[in-house]
Amino acid sequence: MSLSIRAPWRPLTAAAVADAPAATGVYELRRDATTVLVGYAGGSSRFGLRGELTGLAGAYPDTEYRAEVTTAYLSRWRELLGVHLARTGLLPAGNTDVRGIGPIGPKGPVGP
Amino acid sequence: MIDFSPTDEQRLLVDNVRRFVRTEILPLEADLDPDAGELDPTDHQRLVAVAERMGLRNWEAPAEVGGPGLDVVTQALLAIEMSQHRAGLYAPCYGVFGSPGLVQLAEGTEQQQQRYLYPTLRGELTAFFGLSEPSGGSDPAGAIRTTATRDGDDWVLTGTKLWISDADRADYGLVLARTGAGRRDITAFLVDTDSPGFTVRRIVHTLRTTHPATELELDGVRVPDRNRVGEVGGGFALAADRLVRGRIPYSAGCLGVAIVAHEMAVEYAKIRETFGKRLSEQQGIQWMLVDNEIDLRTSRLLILAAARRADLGEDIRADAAIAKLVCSEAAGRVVDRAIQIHGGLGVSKDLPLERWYRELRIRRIGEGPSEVQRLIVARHLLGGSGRRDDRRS
Repeated sequence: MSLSIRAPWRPLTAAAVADAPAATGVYELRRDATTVLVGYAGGSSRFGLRGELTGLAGAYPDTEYRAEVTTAYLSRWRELLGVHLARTGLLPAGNTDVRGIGPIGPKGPVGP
Repeated sequence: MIDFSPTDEQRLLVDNVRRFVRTEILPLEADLDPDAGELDPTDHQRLVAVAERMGLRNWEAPAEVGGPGLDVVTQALLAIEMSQHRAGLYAPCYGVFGSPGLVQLAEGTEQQQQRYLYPTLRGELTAFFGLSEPSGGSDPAGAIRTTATRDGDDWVLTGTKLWISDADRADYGLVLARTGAGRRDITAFLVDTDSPGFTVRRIVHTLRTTHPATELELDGVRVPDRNRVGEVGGGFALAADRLVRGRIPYSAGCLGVAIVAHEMAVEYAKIRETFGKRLSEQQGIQWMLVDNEIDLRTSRLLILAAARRADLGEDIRADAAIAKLVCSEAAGRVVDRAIQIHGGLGVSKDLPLERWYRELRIRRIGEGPSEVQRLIVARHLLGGSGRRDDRRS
């Protein structure tokens, strides 16, 4: 399993996320090639990833997203944040309030 | 017949923890993700203060290091209570009473206690336990490939560890490594996670997301000899002791969630009607509930019997193995029956049953699978392991 989400980046627009899966999973938002938010659609999310991304579409203009369906959304979310931390030394701007994240995977910028 | 009636003090502690779970944990949990393993930090801090006022912070720690010094029976009774909520199996009370610590450090050097144990008990540091490897975890003497080589005042550790809970957020870990060619030439070291050469490769995603497992790489990690815990070659006994002691609270956690699942099944059976009758009036359902009751009572007796023998200072390897084997399997059956009685609702995330079902499946493998527990009991019955080198040692 790749440490990063392997799905292609797509524009974060209402039209583009309309066919996102109504399932639990994780997603990543980026703007100008910089990850700005890593989030998840959990067991209480209405319409899963589709619902979460629809809610974000207006709040994050000029942004792309990629998503991954998984039932292990909490541990996968934590892993994605840890990978980002290892590669950049920081958490994404939208996740700076998250506590207890440690680096995962190779340190420094590697791969997509 | 052994009397397992709780003492007045035990009853008071149990009542306090039960009330705490119902009035503090359950209301907060209702607003969390169904798979959550952590509280909001503000809530966590508030409840840690409550746990301190209750005198039960670090409830498993011995009195010598500032814990309440509870006997094993009392600890088991409290563990049964602390697990009676959605996250209770792997995050009992979300850790506000203190996480299961590295109790072996209570026997560490004064320096190790000052640097690692006391900050951990104060909640300033977190730790992992690094035993299992890709080659296995049930037979540590045979499976450990990670090596520790002496180099001046240091040891140099190289190898891979697997299924290590929470290593990605830990400040340090207790790592078992091979220091000789013999099966039991295993030594324990305290390893700081910011050491050069230490990497958490990935999280291993499983049926549970609370305290997820990780894979670690140790690539020439230098550890000073002062961070060696116990004697060179003493790691096997240390690991075995930790595993044996841990099986009682491990079993108690299984029983705790099974008790709640059973209570839910009983209540639901009384109100749900099918074909003009309540479920509770149907013999097929009644028998399922009776089987639950038998599983719960059996589990409770085995836990308390093992705990009582531990308090008497007796060898509890077989007792703890039997308790772990029976309780983990019985709890799985109880939750499975509770789900069946609830029908579709039982497998939805609206109820905690589906989470317990997933997590209890892990309990039959974690801390030694059922087959290894049987092996331990067989050794107890037959003497020795049957291994040629064990007979020599």
